Amino acid sequence: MNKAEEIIRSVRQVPVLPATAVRLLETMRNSRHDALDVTRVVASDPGLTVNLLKVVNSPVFGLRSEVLTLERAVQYLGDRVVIGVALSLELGEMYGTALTGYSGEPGGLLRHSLTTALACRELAARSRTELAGEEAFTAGLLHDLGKALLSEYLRGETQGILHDLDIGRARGFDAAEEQRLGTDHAAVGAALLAHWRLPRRLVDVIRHHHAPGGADMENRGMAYIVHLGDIVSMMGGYGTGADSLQYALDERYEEWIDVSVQGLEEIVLKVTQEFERFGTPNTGRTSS
Amino acid sequence: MKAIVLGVGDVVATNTPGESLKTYALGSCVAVILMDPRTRTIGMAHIALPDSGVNADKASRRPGYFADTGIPALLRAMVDRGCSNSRGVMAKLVGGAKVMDQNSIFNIGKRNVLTVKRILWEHGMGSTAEDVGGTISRTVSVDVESGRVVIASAGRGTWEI
Repeated sequence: MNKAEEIIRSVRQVPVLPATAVRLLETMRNSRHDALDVTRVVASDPGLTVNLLKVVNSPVFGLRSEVLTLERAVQYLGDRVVIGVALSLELGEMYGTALTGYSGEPGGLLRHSLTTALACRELAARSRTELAGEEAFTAGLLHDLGKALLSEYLRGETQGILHDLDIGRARGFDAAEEQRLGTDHAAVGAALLAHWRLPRRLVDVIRHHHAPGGADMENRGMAYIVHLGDIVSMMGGYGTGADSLQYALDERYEEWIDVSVQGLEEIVLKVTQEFERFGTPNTGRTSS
Repeated sequence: MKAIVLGVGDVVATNTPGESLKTYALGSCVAVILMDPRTRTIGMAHIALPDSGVNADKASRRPGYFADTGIPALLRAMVDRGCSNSRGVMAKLVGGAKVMDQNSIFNIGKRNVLTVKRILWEHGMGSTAEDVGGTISRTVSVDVESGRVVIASAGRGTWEI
C-alpha cells in the first residue's frame, strides 16, 4: 500500500460527524436562517449547550456580565459566532490538533479556519456571481481540516519541504505535499467531507481551494472565494505553521471576484475586528 | 523575562529592565521597532495596513493599526517613557510578507513596508536594519536589556537583525 492509499484509508477511520454538527451546517447553509434556528439546534444537545455557555463565559470573550442562556449568547455574539464556537466544540478534537507536521501551534488550525471563514463571507459579497455568504463561511470553516489528518504524515518533512520551496523545486506547499506523500491536504480534506456525506459541492470546493480553476464550473466561483479567503487569513498572520503564505495565488480570481485595493484592505480590517470578538488577538498563544 | 505580547494594532514602549516586547506571526503586517540607546527605551507597533483612510474611526480608536497613524503613536509612546525626540532613535522593520504571486493588489506587505519607510522619513528617520518581504510569516521580539531583535518562523528557526 503506498502512502496516499494509507492516508485515504485513515480518513475512513474518522468517526462520523456528530448529528448536531450536521444540523448546524445545514442551518448555516440556509441563507434565511435566523438566530432562533441556531438556538434551537444547539439547545437540542444539552452537552453542547453546557460547553458553549462555558466557552462564551470564559475570560477570552471578555463579556461584562455572565451569559446564562443560549438566547443571550446568540444576542451578544451573533449567530455566526455561536455556530462557529458550537462547530469547533463538536469538532474540537480535530480543530485542536497541534499540527506538528506543519510546525504549527495548538489552536492554530481553529484560528486559521475562523478567520478564513470570516474572509470568505466578506469576499462572497464581492462575487461577480451570486453566492451566499453563509455557504462561503461554512466552506472557509472546513477548508483545511485535511491538515489535521495529514500532519502526522508530514512529521520530520517540514524542513525538507521548505528547502524545496526555497529553491523552486515545488510551487506551493500543497505541491510539496503531493510530491512527498502522493496527496495533499485539500484532497484529504475533501475525502473527509465526502466520508461525512457533506454536499458534493462543498467537497469539490475544498478539493480545489488551492487550484480553484479545477473545480466544476458551477462550483468555481466558491472555490475562488475560499482560495482568496485562505490567503487573506494567512496575510493577517493566522496561518497554520510552516506552510503559511507558501501557496500560489491564482490571479484568475478577477474573473469571479471584484475586489480593489481598498476593498481588500476593508476585508482585512473587518476579519481582524470580527475575529477579535472571539477573544484577544493572541488567544491561545503563550508568551515566553 | 516578562514578555509583553502585542496584538494587531498595538503600540507599546518600555524601558523597564527585564521586559521584552513580542508579536506573533506577522504575515503581511509590519512590526516597527524603535530603540533609543540613550534612555534604553524600546518600542514596537504591529501595523496591519498602510493608510488610515480606509477606516478613520478605527484609526482614532487604535492608531497602531495603520502605518500613517501608528508611527506617530509609537513616537508618542517612546516620549512618554522618557525618550526626548526621534534624534538618535534606531528603527528596525520586520514582516511585510506576501503569498507566492506577482499581483500588486494582494501585496499588502509591500505597501505596508513602503508606507512605513515614507512615514519614518517624514520624521527624519530611516531603518537601520530590516527583515521584510518574502513568503514567510515572522514572529519577532526585542528586549530592553540587550536591544536584540530576534525573529522566528515556523520550521525555519530563529535569527537576529
